[in-house]
Amino acid sequence: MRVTMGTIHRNILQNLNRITEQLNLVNGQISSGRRLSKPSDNPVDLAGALGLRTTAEEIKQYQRNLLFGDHFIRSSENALRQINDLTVRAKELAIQAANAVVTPRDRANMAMEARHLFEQAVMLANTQVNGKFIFAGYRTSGYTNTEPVPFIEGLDSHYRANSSPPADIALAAGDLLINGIALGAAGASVSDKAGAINAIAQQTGVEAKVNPLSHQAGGPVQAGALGSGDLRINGIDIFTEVTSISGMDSDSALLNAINQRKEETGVTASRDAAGHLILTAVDGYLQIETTANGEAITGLASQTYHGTLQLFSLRSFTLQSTTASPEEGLAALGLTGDNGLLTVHELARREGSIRYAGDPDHDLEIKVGARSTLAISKNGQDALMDTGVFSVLKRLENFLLGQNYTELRNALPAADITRPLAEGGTGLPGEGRIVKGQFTVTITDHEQAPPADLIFNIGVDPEHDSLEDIAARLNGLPGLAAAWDAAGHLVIEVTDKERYSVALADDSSLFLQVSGFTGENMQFESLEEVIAELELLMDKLNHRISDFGARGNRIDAQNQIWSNLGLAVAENLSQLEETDLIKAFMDLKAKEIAYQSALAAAAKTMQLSLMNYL
Amino acid sequence: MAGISHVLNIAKEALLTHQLSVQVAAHNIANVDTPGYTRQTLNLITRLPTPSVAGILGGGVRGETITRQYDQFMTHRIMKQQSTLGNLQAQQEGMRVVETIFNEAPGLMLNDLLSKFWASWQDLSDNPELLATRQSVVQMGHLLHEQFLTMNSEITRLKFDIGVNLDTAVSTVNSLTRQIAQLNLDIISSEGQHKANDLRDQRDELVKELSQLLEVTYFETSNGAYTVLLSDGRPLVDSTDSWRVAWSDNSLFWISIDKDGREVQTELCGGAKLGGQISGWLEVRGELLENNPHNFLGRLDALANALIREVNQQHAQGVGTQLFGQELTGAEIAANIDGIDAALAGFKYGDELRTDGGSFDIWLYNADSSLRLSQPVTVSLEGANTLYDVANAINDAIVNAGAAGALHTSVVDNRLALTPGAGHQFAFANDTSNFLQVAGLNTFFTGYSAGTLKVNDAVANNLEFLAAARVGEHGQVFRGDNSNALLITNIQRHENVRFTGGAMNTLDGFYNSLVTEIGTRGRALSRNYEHNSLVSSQLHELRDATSGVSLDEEMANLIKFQHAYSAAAKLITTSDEMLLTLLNSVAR
Repeated sequence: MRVTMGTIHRNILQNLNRITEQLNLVNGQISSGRRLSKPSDNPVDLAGALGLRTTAEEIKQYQRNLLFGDHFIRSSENALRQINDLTVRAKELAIQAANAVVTPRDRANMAMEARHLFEQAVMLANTQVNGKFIFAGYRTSGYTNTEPVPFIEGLDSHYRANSSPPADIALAAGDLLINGIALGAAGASVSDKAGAINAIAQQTGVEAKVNPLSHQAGGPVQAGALGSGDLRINGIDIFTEVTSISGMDSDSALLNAINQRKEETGVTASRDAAGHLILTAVDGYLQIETTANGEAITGLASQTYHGTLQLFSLRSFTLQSTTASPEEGLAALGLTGDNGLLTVHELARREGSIRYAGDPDHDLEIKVGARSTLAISKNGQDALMDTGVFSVLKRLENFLLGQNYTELRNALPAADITRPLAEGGTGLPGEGRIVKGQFTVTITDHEQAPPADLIFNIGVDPEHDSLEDIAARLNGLPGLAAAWDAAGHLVIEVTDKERYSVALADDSSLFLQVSGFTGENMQFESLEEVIAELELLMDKLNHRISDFGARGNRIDAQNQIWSNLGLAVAENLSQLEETDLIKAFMDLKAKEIAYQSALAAAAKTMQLSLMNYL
Repeated sequence: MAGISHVLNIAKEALLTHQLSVQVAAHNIANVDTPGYTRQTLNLITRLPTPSVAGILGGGVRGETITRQYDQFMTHRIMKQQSTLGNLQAQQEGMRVVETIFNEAPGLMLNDLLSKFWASWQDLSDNPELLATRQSVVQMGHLLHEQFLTMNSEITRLKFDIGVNLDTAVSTVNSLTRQIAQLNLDIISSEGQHKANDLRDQRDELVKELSQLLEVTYFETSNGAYTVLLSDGRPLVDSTDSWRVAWSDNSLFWISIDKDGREVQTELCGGAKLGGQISGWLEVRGELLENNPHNFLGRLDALANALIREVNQQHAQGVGTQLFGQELTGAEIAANIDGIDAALAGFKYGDELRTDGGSFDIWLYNADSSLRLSQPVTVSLEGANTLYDVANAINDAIVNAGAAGALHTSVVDNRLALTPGAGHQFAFANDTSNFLQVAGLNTFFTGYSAGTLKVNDAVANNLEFLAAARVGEHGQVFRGDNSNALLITNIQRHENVRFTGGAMNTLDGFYNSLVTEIGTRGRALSRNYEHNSLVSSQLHELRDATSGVSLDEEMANLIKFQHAYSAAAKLITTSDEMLLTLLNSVAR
């Protein structure tokens, strides 16, 4: 074939170009350290590299999240551990105090320490990490002047509306709006109304409780005979056959008759020292129907009584009456408002109570994987409020001060509780010292602001009363349960420890002294109780601590997984997009040699021409 | 009868002929570097003989024609190859720029920004209370906006630049066809017995230039003129006539004159099949056109579109650390459609709306952030067709819930405006209708495409509106709530994101496949181009084997011609001597 100079020239140029292009590529790879400088260099590798880069970035972020979560979890665990240490110290105090050699003055000093422990616990509960409260669910910040921290001391835990005895009217559906939601129809009784309110509590967040109703007869029981229809309580006829009643009900015939029908009527009877009947309706409804004879003997007039209601909610709430006369809907609940509108937006002060203002429903979560999250906190409700740590510590302080008892037990066991005391043989040493008289029971309702005291006089008549009778008088008092246990101890306890406390005093019958309800004894019993509670509390706290420990471990494990994966990704990525320098240098050397030889060959070839030889 | 003068005559002719040979060689040597030049040679033949006693006596030499060493087959092949190469070259040039727009190889581009964007949401989920983390999410949003905008405007600029190239190429085509027609005329008129070699070379060069721009076929007619046809058979040059082409809307048009003398533009179908640079440019430009979900720009738009939709749908259901206490206006505009004012279908994301059974919740609060109603107001979009219907539905729902005056909704300039009453605030939740996203209420991004993606001013101007939280079951709003931020981070790995055009992928995956495709295209083009330039140079080699000027050869020829010339001169000397001898003998 004819090869012209142009052909040679073009070929030389083309080949030199190709080599310089490759040289440039290798040079670029070496100088930038990257194998890929544009998508077309290696689209498949680039696709892989892009995916890996995203993954690497994600892993880095997950590790950041884990670091953050680790900090959070360790802090929570630490705070709980310290609270646990406080309870250990509290238990030491309680054990020390429940000892006869300790003087009341010493106990008062211990109460001061218990108070410090309580305050310390509140402080720890309000621990902040990086400005975030760790036991507050989602409400890590954003507190107000009225609610400056998640755990606020001295404020009632709920917004409450305490009613006076309501009007005896039924409610039609829609008569009352709670937080804008219509209340269903309800009968005239408070328990009906409370039921209707609780039926929509899910939506409104407002619940209702019935305060027990206690009614004292107008006069002492007179002697006489009661027959069918003479006394009906809540529609139940108490006497089906004629029964004779002694003056002051000295043989307790009337009392026993009423208490026998307790299951049906929901009403228990007791009697004060003056012989007045006291009827207590736990569900707040008491309908008395008496004949003239019945009224004369029992001192009870025909009347319907309604107990009071307590409405409460974690958030402020409104009640709006939509009845024709604007107050009627509210009056049906025993509440008053402004032109039919009642807004409850203030929390009552309550000594020793903790208001949890944080978020009670959620735990903070962090992202630890493409589809997985890890809870790094426990909200204050679950972590602390539900353990009862604050109330237990508060109770310890109260008991050390000898106040606000919730469970009382006499020191001396009785053998026989059915015989009248005068007959002897009750097993109580000194039973003969009991004289006719009375003592007072004070039940304090701490949910009302200020706390409301209900004072009952319990009469003791050794001639007629057995130990059982005395217990029966105490049992069924609002918020109180009393019974002799199998070991022969009288146990008097409140039905709701958060709400009520009980005190016994003014003993003119010497019953309390003889049976062993003495001040120090009651204190010891209560301290024993609080020790048991502290043990339970420590269990709960330990459970939570180990939960956080486990999560901390999970974070470590997850972090390890991501570190390993991160390394693998980084390695893959560097293989995909970083220059293999050794190979690149080899390439460079090869290209360099090729280029030099090409240049040399070109110079020689292009010099050759016939003209030089002419 | 031949005499000595006959010898003299032969010698003279030989002198002239060889001189001509030298001249032809000189022409070749001079044009050794002229593009398209075809080596010429002088064809020598013997002159007419004369009868003599001994028989027929040769009459010497004569230069017959100067012919080109023309390889028609190769020339045709080269023209075709030129089209292919031109096409590839144009595409490669275009794709190189496209590649730089989508150059993810060094990082710090969209892929990287998307990763960092999601990471910023995770940082936000760790510390939703901090303004700094909010700021960084919004900053990443701004960076995404800038990146998308840059890519979009680079694409627009490239499209413009390609348009300029196309303008030039089309006018070059039009000028080339005119020149070829002119050369046809010149060749027809100058050629008689001899071919107009240089004019033909020139014409071939023009055709070659033309086929680089557009694939053409051509043939020579009997009078020596070229007829040049487009690949679909429409004529560009016929004898001395030429036709023009024009381009618009990414198509090429062929302009003819109808019988009334008017210009008629006929669209040439299949831009790609037209071949040459023009179709290469058109092809790349086609990837950059708007409103095609399958081309490069369309897919970038689809990415932005899906990103905006996914983030907004989740964001709109959340709540920031601050409730809306001032008028809130939707960021998106409902266009009027078919005479219906503010039609819901007139929203850019109108297709996303679920009016059947769809609803969203509005929580109402007092100025102190306490609840106005303990329940949210649920707004049903059942049967809503226009924004006015939605405004009425909201207003009715609020009145029915007993909160008249807490919030008033109206339509302003085809956008929804929610104005809380004095001392009231509001928040959104539980949107099953997608209305909030569609109307741009409580959204993170605004816009619908790469060129329009932007951080919603409402959020950019007030970081407290960045919705990391969700309104709780009881209407509570907490600063530390990160649940919505966590849900938004899930979008990154959501595998069934819908894209305009029907694709389903992750956001990353969709974009990465676009980049990979661009890379693959670029790579295939480079390889193709490299291969075809090799073919092309081989074809040129083959052509040059016949038509190229070899200086060595010309040198050798020159010596040969010089010798022949010297010999002819010697012949004259010889015949002169012969005549002298003769004359001397006569004189004596």
